[in-house]
Amino acid sequence: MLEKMLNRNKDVAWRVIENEAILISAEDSMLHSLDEVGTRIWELADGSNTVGAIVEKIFEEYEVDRETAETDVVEFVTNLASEKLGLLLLSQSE
Amino acid sequence: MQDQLIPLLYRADQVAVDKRIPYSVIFEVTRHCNLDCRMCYVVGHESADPEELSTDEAKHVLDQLAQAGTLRLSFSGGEPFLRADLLELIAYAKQLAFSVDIMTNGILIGPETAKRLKKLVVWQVSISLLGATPETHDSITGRKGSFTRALNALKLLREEGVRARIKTLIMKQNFHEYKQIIDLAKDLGVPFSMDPTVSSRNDGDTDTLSMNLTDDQFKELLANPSLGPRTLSLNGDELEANRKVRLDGYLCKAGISFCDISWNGDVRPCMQYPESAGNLREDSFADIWNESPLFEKLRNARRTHLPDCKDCALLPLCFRCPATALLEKGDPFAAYETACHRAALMEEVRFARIEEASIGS
Repeated sequence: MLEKMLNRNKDVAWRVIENEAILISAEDSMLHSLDEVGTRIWELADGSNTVGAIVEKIFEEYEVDRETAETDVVEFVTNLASEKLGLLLLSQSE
Repeated sequence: MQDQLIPLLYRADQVAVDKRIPYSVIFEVTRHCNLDCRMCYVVGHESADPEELSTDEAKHVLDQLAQAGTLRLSFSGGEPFLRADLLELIAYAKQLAFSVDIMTNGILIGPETAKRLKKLVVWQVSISLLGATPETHDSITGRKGSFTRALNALKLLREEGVRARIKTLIMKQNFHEYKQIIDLAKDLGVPFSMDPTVSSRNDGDTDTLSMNLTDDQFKELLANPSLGPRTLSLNGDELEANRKVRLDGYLCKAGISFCDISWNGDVRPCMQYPESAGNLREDSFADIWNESPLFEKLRNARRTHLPDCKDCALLPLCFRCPATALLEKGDPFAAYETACHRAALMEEVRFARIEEASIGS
């Protein structure tokens, strides 16, 4: 997982309002919101960062230890990349 | 850290209201329409306005809306598919991560367009259906064959897996078919919405108002369990509690978290509002949204400020609209006959429901 590139699904409509990302899933047309850290991961998922690189950024920017950052980022990415939601897309690192 | 995977439509909308973000915008990309509906409020829809925004100008509008925080974007008209660049504009809007929906009569949606809309991942296509039969629909639209094409568009969209919806303006001319329209929506597997309010034309001409439902028709529509608003189920105490809560509320979301952009770049609180807050050829969207005295006036208004309405017991049942008040009375904050009369009819329906429930219990 850590070496994979993370990309936002381009079919998802989204905006960041007051540090909170609001997403509309194209799959189920449901509205979702992300908290501040989730929003930061979402913004970093632009196809230029691996999951590992995002873990490092979260570790640097927020007051968490590296292990917690990794567990939380991987769980978050797994949830949002689940087949039903498909909000985030994982691909092999270049 | 955990995302919140629950429907948050209301909450997102509330955030937009609190922060005054134009979360939802209708972009009327052309006034031109290929139908001639009797009740249409768009004056001059027989042709495109020579002042219509160009493709580049329309894209610049979309850039500004994305910057302002707009998430839900509806392309409307006139008939939006009469713009040759509509699919290009939708594709551009998708690049900017808008949730896009389209309001159309469906005439120009053939198999290829339906496929393109699927590829573009539009959130929803609302098709105006003004009857359950060709006779009724076509007699209102003034164009033979328009019903068949609207129905065909709904079927094509469903086949492609595009979310489609039936949108119906219910008036005297099609009231007799409203139940059949509901059945048709069920058969097609699409949601529907029914609006019982015919508006004045946007030049202030009120000749369309005579098409509004009779009192008995309006009450019958409300009494239908799948159509009446939630407030019709409230008892007297609940109604009074609701009235107190609503007193401090905004009159409507127009100018608060919603606005309309016309084909010529005018920014207005909503499609019916006859005054413009500014024009995008002269000022930026941000300047108009943040600085316009018209928006400021609407944002500062609360129901408790309305001299004619603040003490009215029927306030929770009333669908008063600043735009209609302005058109009918020349004052967006005045009480006006249509709203007062319909609120009284709604109270009759509510009262009858409560009586019926008490007899049944």
